[in-house]
Amino acid sequence: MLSRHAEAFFWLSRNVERAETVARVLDVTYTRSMDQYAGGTWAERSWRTAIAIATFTHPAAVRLGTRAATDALARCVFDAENPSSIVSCIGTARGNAIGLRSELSTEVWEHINELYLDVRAESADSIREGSPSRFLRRVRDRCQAIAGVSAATLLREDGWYFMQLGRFLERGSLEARILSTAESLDDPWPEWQRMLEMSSASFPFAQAATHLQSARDATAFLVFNATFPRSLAFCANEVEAALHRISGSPGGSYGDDAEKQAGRLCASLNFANADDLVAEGLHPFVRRILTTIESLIAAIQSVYFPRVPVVAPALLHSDALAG
Amino acid sequence: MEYTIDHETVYRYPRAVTESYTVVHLQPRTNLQQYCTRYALDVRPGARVFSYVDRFGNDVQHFGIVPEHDELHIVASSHVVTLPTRGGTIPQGVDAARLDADPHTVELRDFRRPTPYVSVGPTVVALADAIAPRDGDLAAFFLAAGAFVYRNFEYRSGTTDVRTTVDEVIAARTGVCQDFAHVLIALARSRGIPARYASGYIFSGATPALGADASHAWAEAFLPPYGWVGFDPTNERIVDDAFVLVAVGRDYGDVSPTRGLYRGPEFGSLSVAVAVGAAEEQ
Amino acid sequence: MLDLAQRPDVGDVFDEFFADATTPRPNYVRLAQTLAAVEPDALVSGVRAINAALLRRGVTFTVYAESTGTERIFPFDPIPRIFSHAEWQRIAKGVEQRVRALNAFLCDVYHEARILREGRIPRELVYSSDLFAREMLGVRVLHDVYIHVSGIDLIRDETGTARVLEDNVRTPSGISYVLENRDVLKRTFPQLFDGYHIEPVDDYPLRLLRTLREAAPAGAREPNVIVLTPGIYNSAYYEHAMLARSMGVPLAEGRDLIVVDNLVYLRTTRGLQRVDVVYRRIDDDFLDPLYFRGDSTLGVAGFMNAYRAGNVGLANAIGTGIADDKALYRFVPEMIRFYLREEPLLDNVETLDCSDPASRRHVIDNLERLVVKRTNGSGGFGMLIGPASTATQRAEFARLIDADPRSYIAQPVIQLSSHPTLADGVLAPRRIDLRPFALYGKTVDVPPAALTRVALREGSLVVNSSQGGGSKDTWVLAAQDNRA
Repeated sequence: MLSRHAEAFFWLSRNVERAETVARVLDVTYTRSMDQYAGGTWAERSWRTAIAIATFTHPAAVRLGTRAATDALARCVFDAENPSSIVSCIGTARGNAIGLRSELSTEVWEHINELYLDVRAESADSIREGSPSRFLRRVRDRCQAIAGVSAATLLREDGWYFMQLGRFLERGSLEARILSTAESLDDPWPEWQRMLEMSSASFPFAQAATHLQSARDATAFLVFNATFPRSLAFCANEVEAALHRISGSPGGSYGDDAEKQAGRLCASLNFANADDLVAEGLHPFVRRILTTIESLIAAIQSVYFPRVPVVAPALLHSDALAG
Repeated sequence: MEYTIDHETVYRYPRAVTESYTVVHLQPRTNLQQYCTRYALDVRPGARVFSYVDRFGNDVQHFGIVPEHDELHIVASSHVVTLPTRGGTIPQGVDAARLDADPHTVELRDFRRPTPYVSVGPTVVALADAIAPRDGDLAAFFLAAGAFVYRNFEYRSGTTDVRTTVDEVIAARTGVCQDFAHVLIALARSRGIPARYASGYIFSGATPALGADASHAWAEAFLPPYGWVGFDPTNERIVDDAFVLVAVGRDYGDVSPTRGLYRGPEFGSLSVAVAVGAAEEQ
Repeated sequence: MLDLAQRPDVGDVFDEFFADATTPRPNYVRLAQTLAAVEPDALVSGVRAINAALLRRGVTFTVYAESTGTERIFPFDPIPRIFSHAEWQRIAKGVEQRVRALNAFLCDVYHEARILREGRIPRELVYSSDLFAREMLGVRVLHDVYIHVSGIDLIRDETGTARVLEDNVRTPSGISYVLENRDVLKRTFPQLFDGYHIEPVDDYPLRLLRTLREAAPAGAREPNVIVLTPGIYNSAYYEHAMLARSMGVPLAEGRDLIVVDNLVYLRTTRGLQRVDVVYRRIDDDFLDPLYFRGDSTLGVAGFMNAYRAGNVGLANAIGTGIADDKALYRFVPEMIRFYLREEPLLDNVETLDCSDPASRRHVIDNLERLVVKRTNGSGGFGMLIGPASTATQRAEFARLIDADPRSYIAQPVIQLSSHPTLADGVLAPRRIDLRPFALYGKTVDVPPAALTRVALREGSLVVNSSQGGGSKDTWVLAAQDNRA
């Protein structure tokens, strides 16, 4: 596969994954603002948290206007300047999809293009008039549909595995960001409920939980559960598997820098448990995971997407003047 | 005469470059007046050198270097024998009718037209009229124009560069061999004479010649029945066996000694050294 | 019920559908019956759905004349254009003959130039063309094939005679619309196909791939073919992607390629991969910054060297533009006689060459009755349609022609044939042309997949996509069809 196409697959799925998560985070915050947080001191904090996740900033650095919900939706959904807003993510995903027109199945392309046309036709006003939640869920559903038709129609070749890399790296890093919005393991239970909802984990956790309302269990579930498809451990294992499928090297061996970094990430998630996390502290642990994910992304870039300075034309040798 | 020629070109870059592609016109031609008995092109860093013959009959080499490098050395070494018959006759009595009647003339259309380096505008036409009236002997005109350039233009390096146009040279009345060759070609073409750019070397022996320490250039005119006649306006002489012809083209752009592309930082430097020596007679 | 009785309101126009006021031509009898039972609303809403689907599917081209490049669809008209088998055979043979002659001309003009030496075509006309690629002089192209893919534009004059309006032998586009049109028509109006047996179009990509593989260097047993696109901002990018995808070959940009030791490679996730044939959809000037435009970022440095050495096949060859320079168009019948020793099967349109002083005078004196075209123009730009022009436009063209006569030709206004077309909810006559495509590998293949373009504006003669044109599905009846 062309390196350029591999890179486009990677960014396509990363951006779809990000749009989906941002939509879910906003939806959870919005619906909770109507009962759980209504009027309380948690209301403002929860919008701050949502914006922090969606814009990749620290909650404390988020400035909020007087109308928190309106402000948050404008910034996280329609702000074209914000590269993580839903319109930006979908626009970027579509841009990558256009570059992959020759590689994608018609179904995947059409789903992406339809989502793009749909989001472009809406505005902050139009979704406020309707129901913000209905819109956000439509975005979430369409993003999941893209992942679904991708799984149903794409050959299990490099393109698919680069999509897997993008998807699970993005999912893992967003999951870590969601976790980092907890102040500490002593936060009240509704805050853990919020994080579980933002991770689509309410019901899976309820099925798996042995203790009611235990912050420690919720964290362990989101970080270490090997069967929940949004846990950090699950994401890391998918990334490692995809890398081995691409390189053809057997699992357990580490042929290049990307595989080494992925191995390190998996080890820190597969061989640790809730006690280790508590001992290290939630924030230091999450920061370490985020750093490893970032160096893994850098390693993938340098192994598979060698940068050619292509924007500028090649330079001319100066000519020798004949004397 | 026999000559050995060493032509070294060095590009140095401030930072490493990659994917450089170079095309060179450095191989002396073999024809009825000279033959090239040895030619070697040495490139560092090492590269596979490929060769082809272009539409003017020049032997062209090219090579690409993909890995990073911060210097590029190109050394062309050759051994050439030139025959004394060249330049022995002074052409004369070639009129327009004679030229047009020659079966080759029609195929030389491109050498009678303006080309990127050789514009033939009012400045050139006026200069031609100042040299000799129209409707005269074309051969005499060509030689007179060459002599005119020699006497009225000052050889001074640094006043022009590889992109200088004919009109600029005429206005400034200074330049180097490449510029003078272009002016003479323009003057010839303004009178309908097929004229081409010749790139090569001049041997500076007993009589010191200008342009001997670099690639040299002169003009050639098609004057039937003499065929292509070379005149060097830089030294005011008909091209003889002290000249080694490397390549011909419509102008400099067709035959520049080295040209190429690379990816990397701007402002690489270039240095060229040419040594033409008389070889031991064997 | 659709009213099919609307007739061309202009005299002297050939009607493709009706033989006379009420009788459809044999090809169209069954279609007329079907249409008579169709509710206009159903057609209108079906077309609306198709156009929306085309946008959704991104079957779009980019228009640059507008300030920002915008994505637009090429509007689809649901009334198909139908050729009898025999009629198509005649056209296909004519196209094939023309392409063989144009190819022979290219082979000749870049080598011996016999046709110039023998004075059949003025040498000056060739050498003064900016489409004449001197870099190709003496370069032997693989298998002596230059024009692997061509689109020959045909019109039908007042008498119904098919004539060639222009040859497109550089990088003609439009085949993606042929494939899309058939697909959407089958899905949306299946009833129109009732009672017809027509040739399929969907094997075009396979035929193209076969042609491209035949363009490979002799040593390549399983040739690697790629499509080379200028990128996603090119107006025909959709088509490049569609062809690459349906042929199952990589769609590359110049930056995806690299020349190493005179061989062309793709930069892939598994290292460099050799390329044997490039189906390029970028212009000559941009192919190789080492030999053509030095500021091009779309091409590949060193490509020309690999090509000259015969290490890579290129479709189409560099320098084919000289064969579709409009100033040489009037010599194509002569090329057919000269190279093939055959009589032309398809006629030209009478053409005046402005570089001839007498013709130029005549053209300038009669601008309001002529169509003037730039010799290197395409896409309907740089063109004057006399009867529809203003005095100011004519004065401007007179000035342009006088300043640079070599760059203009003039032709009488040809009344393109008309075909019923859906306009504002009714069927109305609109002007059409035809672009069959020819594929030249070991032999010349003219697939029954042609593009019919239609001028959607009433009375308009301009069918270009960039200027208010639309397109129709084009049917070629199979040999077994009883109307054949």
